[in-house]
Amino acid sequence: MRKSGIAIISLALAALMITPAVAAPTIVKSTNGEVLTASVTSVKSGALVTVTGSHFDETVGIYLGFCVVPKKGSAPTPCGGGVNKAGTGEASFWISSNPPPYGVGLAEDFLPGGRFTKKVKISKMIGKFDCSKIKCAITVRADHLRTADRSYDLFIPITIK
Amino acid sequence: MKKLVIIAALVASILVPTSAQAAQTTFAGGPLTNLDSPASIHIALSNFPTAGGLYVMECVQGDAGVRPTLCNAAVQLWVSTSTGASFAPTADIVLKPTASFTAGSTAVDCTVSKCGIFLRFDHTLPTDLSQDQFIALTFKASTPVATRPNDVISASINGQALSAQVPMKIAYRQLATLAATAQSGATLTYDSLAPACALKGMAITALKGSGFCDIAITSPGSMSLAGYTAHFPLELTLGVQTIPAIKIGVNRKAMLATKTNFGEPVTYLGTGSCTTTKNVLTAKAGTCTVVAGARGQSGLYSPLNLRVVLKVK
Repeated sequence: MRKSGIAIISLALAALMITPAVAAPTIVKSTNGEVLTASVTSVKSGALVTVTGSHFDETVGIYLGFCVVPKKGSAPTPCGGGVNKAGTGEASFWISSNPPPYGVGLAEDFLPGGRFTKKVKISKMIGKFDCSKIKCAITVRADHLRTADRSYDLFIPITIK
Repeated sequence: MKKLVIIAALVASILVPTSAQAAQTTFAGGPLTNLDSPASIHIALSNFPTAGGLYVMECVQGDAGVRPTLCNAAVQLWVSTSTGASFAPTADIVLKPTASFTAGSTAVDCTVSKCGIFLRFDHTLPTDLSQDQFIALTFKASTPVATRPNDVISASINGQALSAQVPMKIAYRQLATLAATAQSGATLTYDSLAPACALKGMAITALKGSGFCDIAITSPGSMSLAGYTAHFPLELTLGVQTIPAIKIGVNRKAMLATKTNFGEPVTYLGTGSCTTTKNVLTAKAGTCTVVAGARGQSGLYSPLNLRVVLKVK
């Protein structure tokens, strides 16, 4: 299992600009080189956040979703939309270039270079959890074929306005 | 003197082999040699003991004086006048021994081991060896099973034949279409045994630019050909980045691709009779040289380094 040290590089350009026209994207990099970017991190409930990924390992399927931030070392859960094995909906996505046979047609392929771009729907409530009171984040984790592998977890915390 | 006689009798009884001891029961029956498997041996017993019943068993002959331990429980008979016995002592007793059987965890092959019919007192007299006797059996040598040759599977990618010994090279994200046939004509099944190669239908996609994959193709075989799984190794190589061909229009301008086929941003440098501003190429009459470049990604694809010379009229 890879060491999952995560370096968060916040492009605080907005702070340097006098009149920021657009909120700066937030970028999270794993030590393995995977890059996850969210267009904004402070949104109203129901907003769609553009999330891009690059340099992901295309041989490992992932779930992308909006989840309650778990305790360190625990699996991210619950997530908006649950674990999206159906590959539908805006709350979570299953991205895999090599899914098991039942996932063909459900999971979406990575783009070349381990890239993806998705619009993730942010909701204030994830089940009974209120993301205006607890930490929630746009989350990447390895799919159900590697359920216990925490080395693929990436988080970009989201603030609900 | 009396003690000496008793001791002598005991010694004599110990030294006499089990099978040669004075068995009261007389065995008659057959066939006993060159048997098929299973065989049907008809047995008639006479001088049947009155003290108890007998077990009629198929066993591997034990060491001298030792009861057999490897016996075929599936064909064991109990011959007795008691209720539940397989046969009455006076009946036409039919034993159906087999050329091979399993005793406990031991597989017995009676074409190799010395098997036979073993008679002994039943459970009512378990330690009485006086009825023990062994009648050897022989089975026909097993007819060798006609071995079918394996099915022969031929496969190709994009029309180029695959080899089971020499890996075919395929590049990262290269369009690779698999095709295969079996000599038997059977329907084949396909599997990619390495995660670096995705197999969807007949399309193989290399998800890495290095390493190896193993495409397994399985035939169930036919009446004349045995089922077989053929393995075709693939060697993965770095992907090749491309951009659409650079052409200058009649207005001597061209909008060039901003990204490669793998999504990397492309930078251009126009020299000679042309210049580039971002992805816009502007040319004059003469010779225009355009250099296009894009980053590669380690382990996936090579950088793009393209130089195009255009004659602009």
